[in-house]
Amino acid sequence: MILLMICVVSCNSIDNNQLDRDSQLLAGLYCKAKEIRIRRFDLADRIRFTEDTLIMKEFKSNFFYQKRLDSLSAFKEPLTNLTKILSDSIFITQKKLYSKIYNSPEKKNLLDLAFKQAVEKICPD
Amino acid sequence: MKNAFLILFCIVVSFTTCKKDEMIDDSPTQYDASLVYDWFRLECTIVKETGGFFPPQAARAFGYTSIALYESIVPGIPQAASLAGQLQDFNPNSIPKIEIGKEYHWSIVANAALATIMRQLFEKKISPENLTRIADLENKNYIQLSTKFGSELGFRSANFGKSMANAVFQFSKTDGGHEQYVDPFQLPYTWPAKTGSWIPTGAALNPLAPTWQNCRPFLNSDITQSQPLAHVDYSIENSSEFYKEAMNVYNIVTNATAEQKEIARFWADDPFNTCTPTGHTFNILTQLLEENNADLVKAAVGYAKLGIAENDAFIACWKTKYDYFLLRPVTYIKQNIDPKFATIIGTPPFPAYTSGHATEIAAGARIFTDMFTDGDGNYPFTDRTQIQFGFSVRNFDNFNEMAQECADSRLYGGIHYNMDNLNGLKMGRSIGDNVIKKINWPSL
Repeated sequence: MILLMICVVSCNSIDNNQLDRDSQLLAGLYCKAKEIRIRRFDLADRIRFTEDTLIMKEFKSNFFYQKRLDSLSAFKEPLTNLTKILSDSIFITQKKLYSKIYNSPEKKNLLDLAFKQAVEKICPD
Repeated sequence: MKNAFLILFCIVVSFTTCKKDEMIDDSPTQYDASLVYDWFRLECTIVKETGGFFPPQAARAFGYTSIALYESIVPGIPQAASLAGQLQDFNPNSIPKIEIGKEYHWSIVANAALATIMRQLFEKKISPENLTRIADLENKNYIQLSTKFGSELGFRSANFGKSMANAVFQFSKTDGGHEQYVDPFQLPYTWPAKTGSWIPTGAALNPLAPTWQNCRPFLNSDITQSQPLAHVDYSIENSSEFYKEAMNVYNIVTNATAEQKEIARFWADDPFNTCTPTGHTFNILTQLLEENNADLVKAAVGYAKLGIAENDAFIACWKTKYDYFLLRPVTYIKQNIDPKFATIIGTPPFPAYTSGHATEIAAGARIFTDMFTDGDGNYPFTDRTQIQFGFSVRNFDNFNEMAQECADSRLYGGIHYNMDNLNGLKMGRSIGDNVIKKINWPSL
């Protein structure tokens, strides 16, 4: 009975230290992913604006813009790979946290709140 | 005392380790759905990493995968009807039957069906790494589930799942979309000649999947009943309705707030970095099913409803796009309002009217409303599915609110007119409702 009671109590509450640790872990990963996402969108913008220019420019200046486009495009694969690595890592972390500790809507909301606070400290908008 | 403690220990251990899905039961309602979530998450990864899976192709892959799952377990659901005979050209005689009087483990059946259909749907371009991922997940689940019940039950269940996936794959081969990911631009294509026609907006000099509208939908009525009215007449007169539509895009983009820019990027779901809009909506469904502790039946029904709606939403939307072949806002604005205009996100390479995002998310919102609410769509939820791509969580109180935000994101991004979104939402709602009503689904 005591064992059962201990289990019930421990299963229904989350220790603040644990919440801090988990939210910071998730926020740390998210902030890295956010940085990569900003770089990804920035690269996509630079590529499309260069493509726009390339379409409009005279043939004689095409060489310069084509070179620029090629050099920008070279960054695509490394960024895609970084996105993939981080996305997998975040997904695994989320899965572990949500299935083992934050396994009810209330607990997930607690983590969301702590996560947002941690993000504000690590990588505010 | 020592014995009593041992007995208590054994009871605790048996309660904590014995899950329902490890017991053989006649009905899949007794099975846990977590195995299925892993498969759809893997499909998201495969869509993201396999060339040629743009939004229509991705929606189709998710659609047939969902059908294979549903069909594989439907013989175990009391009073449930197969989709064969209900979906267009899906012949009931083409699907395998279970052996009467024999036991099946429905998680093993589902596991084998999902592994088999995923290998087939991406066959021509799947990477060796992803083939290994499929094999690993299939084997891990099979070993975990089958060891307790002997090889005969395991083989029988896995064989049935594989046979069903093969039957669904054969069905998929006749829909017109089979292996179109190998040539997603479907060249050569003869462009219609009319004023206000789409022209390329970036590097892709041809429009994507121009004959996708000819693919066979799961429900013909999804296409015929959902087609919108024509868009406002094309005109370059600055007093015209069309000019006002374009001016609205221009004003929103040039005055966009940080929040609107964030919303535009959050919902962008660009191919090759995300698993496209359909993948995002599937990820939301997975999250909702997990939050609601759904059993295997509820999960399979949810995925099948969404898969059918998403596949048909893209066919319907592509029909509209290529019937009207309307130029994108960026083209019109540069020609008639401001030659230096730049959108917030990249314009995808296909015509504007109607929005694919608006159509698919509205269909999804209808399915979610049906599954998780009393019909009003009210459901406070947090979309956590995009944290992995570097976007924070977004909160919604209602599924319609979520759909509206997704549709608006295309206007904020500068890539759609508001009429594309409004009519896309209407189309999607019509398709979602049709999928719910026209198919005889098991009551949950």
